[in-house]
Amino acid sequence: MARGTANRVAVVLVGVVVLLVAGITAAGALWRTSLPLDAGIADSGSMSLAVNGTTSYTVPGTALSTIALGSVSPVELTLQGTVAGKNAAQTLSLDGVTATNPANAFASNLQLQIYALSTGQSCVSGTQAGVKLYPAGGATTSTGLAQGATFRARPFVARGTTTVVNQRLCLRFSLPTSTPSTAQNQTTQLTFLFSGNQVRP
Amino acid sequence: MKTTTKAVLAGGAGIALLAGGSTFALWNDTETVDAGEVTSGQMTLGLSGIAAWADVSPDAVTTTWNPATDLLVPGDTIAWTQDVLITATGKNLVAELSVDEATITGDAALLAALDISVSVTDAAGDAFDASAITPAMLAAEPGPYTVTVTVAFPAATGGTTAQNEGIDLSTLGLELAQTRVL
Repeated sequence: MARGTANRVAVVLVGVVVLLVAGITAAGALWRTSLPLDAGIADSGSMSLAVNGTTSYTVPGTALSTIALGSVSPVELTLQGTVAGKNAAQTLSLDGVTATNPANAFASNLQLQIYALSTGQSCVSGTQAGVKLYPAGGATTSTGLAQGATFRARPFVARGTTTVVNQRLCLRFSLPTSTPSTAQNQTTQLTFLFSGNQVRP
Repeated sequence: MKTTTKAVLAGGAGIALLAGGSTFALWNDTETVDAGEVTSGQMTLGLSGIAAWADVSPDAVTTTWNPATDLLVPGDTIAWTQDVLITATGKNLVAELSVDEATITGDAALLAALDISVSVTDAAGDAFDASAITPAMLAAEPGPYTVTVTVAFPAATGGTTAQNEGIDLSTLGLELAQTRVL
């Protein structure tokens, strides 16, 4: 490109750039006014579920080590629920029970009842008071397999409750008299998955 | 002709032209014309009344919301309202009213979980197009106008996401900006 031509091109380019810059500057310089508004703050609430005061609780082995055919080994747990929020409430459910060594004769025959206890009710090996949660329905003496036990969501912490709500549960383990002798000296570890779920009223 | 001689002649011609400037003193006349005044318009924002929060969750038992004590949980929707006054004059004035959402700060997880929206209604409670406000619109629908900031905490928020956190709306920026296609 000849030098003269190059200069002309440069002049045209500079002109375009200047026009563009001028246009942007003009748009940004229009009138503008603002007003600070104070809408304060908005905080989120919370909810929690604990068992015997912790997020993970292991039933002492001694509670089940002496289980015998036809008898009941009762274990009491306390679940603690909290909610913080104007429109928050919480339900409680048992979503499942898993077992290690699930196929061994002990784990596959271990039976369970779960009762919700009210004030003054105890978790006992004899006739149990309270609301039976598992197995659902049936006679008060009916039992179900410990593995896979569940109970559906039930009201736990009501809306507007500002204190910790406790729910005592009685886990009643048993082995039916029909359990084969191969279940002797076998072990299993059960894991209960309880859920506290926020619900809307 | 020598270069020196040419320069002398050119200088003399220039002086002669300057002397000829006296021809500007020929007849002339002037008149004054009254074009009146040219006045600029105005664009202002102002507060009217007292702002208020309300619980507009569809399942709320009461509509009151006290940000000092009430806490948001998934499924909640709360709304903050403030009446504002808008002045806009100028033949070709067009302005947009908006809230600068960048002025809302706070916990990142909570901000990400919340749906925050802004709307403007006129004095009758009808939706008001705040994106192209003109003096004619303001004349037809006199204020005050209500700015509503709606904060929704979706019920789909799972786990324990964004618990015990906060967002700060204390320096919410309401802006009225002239717009124009140049």
